[in-house]
Amino acid sequence: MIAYALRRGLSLLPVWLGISFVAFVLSSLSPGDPAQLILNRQQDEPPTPAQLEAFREANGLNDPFLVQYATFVAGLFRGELGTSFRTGTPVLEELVSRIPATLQITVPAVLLAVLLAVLIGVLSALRRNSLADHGSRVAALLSDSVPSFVLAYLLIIVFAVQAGLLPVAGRGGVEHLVLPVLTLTLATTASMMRLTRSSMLEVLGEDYMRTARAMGLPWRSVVFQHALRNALIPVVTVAGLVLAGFVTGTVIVETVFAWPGIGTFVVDSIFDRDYPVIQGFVVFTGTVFIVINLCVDLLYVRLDPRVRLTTGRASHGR
Amino acid sequence: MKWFASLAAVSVVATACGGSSDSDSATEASPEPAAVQELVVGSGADPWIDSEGDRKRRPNYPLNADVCETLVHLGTNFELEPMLASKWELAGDNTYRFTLKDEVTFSDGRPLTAADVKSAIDYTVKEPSIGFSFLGAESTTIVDESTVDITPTKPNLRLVEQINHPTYAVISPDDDPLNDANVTCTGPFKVTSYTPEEKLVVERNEDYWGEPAKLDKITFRFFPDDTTRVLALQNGEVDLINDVPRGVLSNLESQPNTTIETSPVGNVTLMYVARRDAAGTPKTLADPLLRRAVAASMDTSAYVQGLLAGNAEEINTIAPPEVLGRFSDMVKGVDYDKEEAGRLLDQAGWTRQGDGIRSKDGKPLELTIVFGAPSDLVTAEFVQAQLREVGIDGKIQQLDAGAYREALNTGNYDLDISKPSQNDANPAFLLALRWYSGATGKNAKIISPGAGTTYDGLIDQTLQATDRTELQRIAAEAMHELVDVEVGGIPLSGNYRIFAMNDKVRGVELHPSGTNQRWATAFMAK
Repeated sequence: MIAYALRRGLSLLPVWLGISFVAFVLSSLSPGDPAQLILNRQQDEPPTPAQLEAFREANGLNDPFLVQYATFVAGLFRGELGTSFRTGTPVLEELVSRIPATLQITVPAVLLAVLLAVLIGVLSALRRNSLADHGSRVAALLSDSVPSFVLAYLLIIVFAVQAGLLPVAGRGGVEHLVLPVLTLTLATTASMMRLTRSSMLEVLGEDYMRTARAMGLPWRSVVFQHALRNALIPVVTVAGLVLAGFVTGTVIVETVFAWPGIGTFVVDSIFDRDYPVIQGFVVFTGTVFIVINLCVDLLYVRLDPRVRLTTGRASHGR
Repeated sequence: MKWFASLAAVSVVATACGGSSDSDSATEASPEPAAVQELVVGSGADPWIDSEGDRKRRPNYPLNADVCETLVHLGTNFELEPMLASKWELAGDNTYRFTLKDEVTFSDGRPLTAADVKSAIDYTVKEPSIGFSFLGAESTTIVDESTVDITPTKPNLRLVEQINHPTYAVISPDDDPLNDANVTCTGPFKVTSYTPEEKLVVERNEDYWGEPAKLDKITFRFFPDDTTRVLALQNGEVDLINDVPRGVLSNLESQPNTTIETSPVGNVTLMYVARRDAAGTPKTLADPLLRRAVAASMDTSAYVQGLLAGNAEEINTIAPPEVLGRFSDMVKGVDYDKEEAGRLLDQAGWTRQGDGIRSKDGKPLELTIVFGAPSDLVTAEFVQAQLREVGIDGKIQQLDAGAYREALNTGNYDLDISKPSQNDANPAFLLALRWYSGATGKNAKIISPGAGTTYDGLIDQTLQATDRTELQRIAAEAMHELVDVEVGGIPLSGNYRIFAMNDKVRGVELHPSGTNQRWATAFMAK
């Protein structure tokens, strides 16, 4: 397994380099001269041509494109993502300082969403076309249709303002986690639930399921050991992508709940053309997606007996 | 960041509000103080995140937590009041001498000295410099233990009026707010803790040299979303929200146990008029007839009474009238007169075409409207509609912060909607900062009437006036020249600050300048 993980990790290195290249090129193509942008912020008066030239020289902006890219990648390997134009603080420091707050709401939200989605999805599939099935699908449709900021406000009004059970916003004890986590959970449960349901229905119709039942295996064993394990494969993929998406930005929820995560910082940076942050964030996001995809791949190995580790390389049996 | 909030604010708050009656109890005389004197203020987004310059001013600006103090203070009538200095006088052509009060101490008990003042001002002007009063590293000299001389690097007799800005607050020489907000100062409160993007907590300075604060503790909580801030007030999670967005005001007014209070006018919504681009090439509004036509097309009464629901004042000046003293009437403003606007446009050779938009030599009359604050979109749409009525095609450009800054620097706009605040006592502050041809501001060359004009001459005079009444008269004359003659700035409304608070909060003296707000008189009633 470790060898497989290492091989998968190495095979993703070119992808990561590609992401870094795209991030670098995007920033290079962005409108405006970085020297102008930075010096305009740093001084009251417009920079003189001499100041601009000195800045470009000092920061390697006059170097050939490939040299600049190589310098950028070398910096990435040293953990240097540049310095924010806005805050004057290293980008990595800015991102890392905000990650814990983001993880604090996103990880429970995804876990809860998976739990609910699997539970309801399996029940819906097993009770196909029952009232519960129809009810859960309508609820999922509603949940998918409501924008997360509306959902957030509704939850605040009901649970904080009217019932007075929970705080409106802010970061603090466990009670502060409830509403943002619930908002994120409800916003994502529906799609995963539908996926679980359809996946379960597909698996339940497979020949090997009929065989398992014909062999007299207990119902619980058929459903949970054989059907669910296979049905979860696409759900795990989606859950991984949702988590990666959450980690790299839940801007609306963070803003509404005054939660000091990574999303609001990055969006403000985008609006403010803080290119080092944008660039660093693209690389960071890409890295998070790669790592989570790797984890999902490793989970496949555990979940799917058809994934075989053969002749030193993994192959999907399907 | 607030694009969705402004969209949802009114409907969401309307849903949450269920009350019926307003409470005037905050105005009752001498209510009994509550046993617990703690106030939670629902403030906007953390103001110290965006730049090094802002972090250098923690916890004094843009949010003023009443922790640090300046040599002089800006009164609510925009007049100067003694604060750390008991007196000040002109001690040379360009030097002011400040005598410190004997009784002032820092919150750690150490007496304030002239060396502390020098250290604080040197810190302000040190890179990244945040000063704007022509002060340099050698500007402050110690005369004796309780006397300092301050000499700007360029002639500037407006120094005293400018130095009341919280940017020049005195902090202990050992402190560096850029890296640690927990500074030691002389104010009625002292910092307990600061958690970026979450809250700033201050507590009463028990050894305050002046009248002690009534509150034991104030927590300033940061809410990036205005709607959440309002909901937090309704929930009782915060006791007060400052600078209430006007869109939710009507709902808050009907909220039980909630009081709305307003300050005098502290800022003005206005349009800066771009005459030329950064290269000096004249733009459409270089034509004075067009500038006057634009001003005459603005029904500011409809703007204030309709769009702002009366929650502002109609105004002719581009700064709060009070700062000009008895001379504010010298500025007349351009009256709303659609016919006159049409006549001026005809005179300038712009004639109406079939689609109602005027053109000249086949070129349609188009003006680009920009703004920095997302909430100003409604104002931009109002301006666009008003322009349309006289045959001008207003093109709104909703720009992000970076693009907006670039537009201002390059002159790639015609009308810029903004809300500058009067945060110091200099009546010519905005005039000198934005329209003076010699101003350090990057876009002065784009909007200024130009070097050698009557306007520039008047601004030069404001830098040299020694008498405050004379200063106000000259500033009013300059403003008259700018607004009535040059039409280089078009005022739309005079805005006051609005606070909403639960009826337990008493004694808050609303300052028209948010950065000069003080909290020492506030308390919680039973």
